[in-house]
Amino acid sequence: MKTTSLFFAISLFVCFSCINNNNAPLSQQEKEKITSEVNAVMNSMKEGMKNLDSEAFEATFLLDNEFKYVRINGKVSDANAFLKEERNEFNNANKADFTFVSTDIRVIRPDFAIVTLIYHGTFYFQNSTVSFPDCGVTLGLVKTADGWKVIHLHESVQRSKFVVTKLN
Amino acid sequence: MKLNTLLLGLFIVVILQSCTNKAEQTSSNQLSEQMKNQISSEIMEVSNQWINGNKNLNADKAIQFWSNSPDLRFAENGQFFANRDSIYATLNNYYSITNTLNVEWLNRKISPLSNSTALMSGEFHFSLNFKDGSSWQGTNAFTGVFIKENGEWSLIQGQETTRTNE
Repeated sequence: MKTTSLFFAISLFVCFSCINNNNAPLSQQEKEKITSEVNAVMNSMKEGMKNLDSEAFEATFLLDNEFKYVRINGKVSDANAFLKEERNEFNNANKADFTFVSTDIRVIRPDFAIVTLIYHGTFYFQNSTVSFPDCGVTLGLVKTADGWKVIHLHESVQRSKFVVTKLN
Repeated sequence: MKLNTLLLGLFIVVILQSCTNKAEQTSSNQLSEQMKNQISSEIMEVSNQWINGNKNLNADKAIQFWSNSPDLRFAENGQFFANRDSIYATLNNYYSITNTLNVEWLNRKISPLSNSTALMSGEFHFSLNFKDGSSWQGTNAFTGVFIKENGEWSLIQGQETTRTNE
């Protein structure tokens, strides 16, 4: 009889915990842990950009059919267009310099986070430079078995155009 | 006694299994097609209401579904607004100098991420006729992250970019 009561109590506890966990907001500690994980992904992305390292940069994205990329010219495109543009810049540039400022991470769910940031940077090509003089960016990230990945990227340049400078 | 113990053990396993299933169902990629369709339809409706609020130059309606949470962020052409109040003030200022505003969605793609989170990307065309006789039209790309708050969908994150010729 004692065993029966014990099992019954455990069952109720398990049941209550499950219901409670499904509705409970994330604790501050959980949010801080996720924020730290997402921040590490942002750092990998930035280093990938600075080092023109396509592999490292692309590893921070989940480039499947659902991926959406809103370009600074206001067009919605997909993973293929994103990769084409990224590889064209990374393969042809000699050097890049990027700074992320005002990085703001919000944990919406245990498996979904939003990042907003402003970045500015310059790609240095053989005969020209392309500068992004402050781009406002929204990134949506999901947690996968392989860590946090960007599934949505929207960037807008704060000035009317990015700046192209011809060298020599 | 042994049978009772066995039955209770089985009961616990069933509870655990159902809890796991429930947790998975509310996580991304585990939503049923029916659920995804329902969420998409709800987001479509909410984004239609937003467009209608704009068309009617009604800032209260246009901002109705925007989250009151301090986590709300919104950017227009890369500039982030400080908060919901500043978005509302900007809308009111715009509407006060506008005679007519027409906005139409050109396309929308909704990705339900869970039963309470969805991502939308789309493009809309807008045309404004101002009271001073000038006009402005263009196409904007739009990103929206929607969350369910108190049973209603609200926008927690948005960004718009006006299309340029680049």
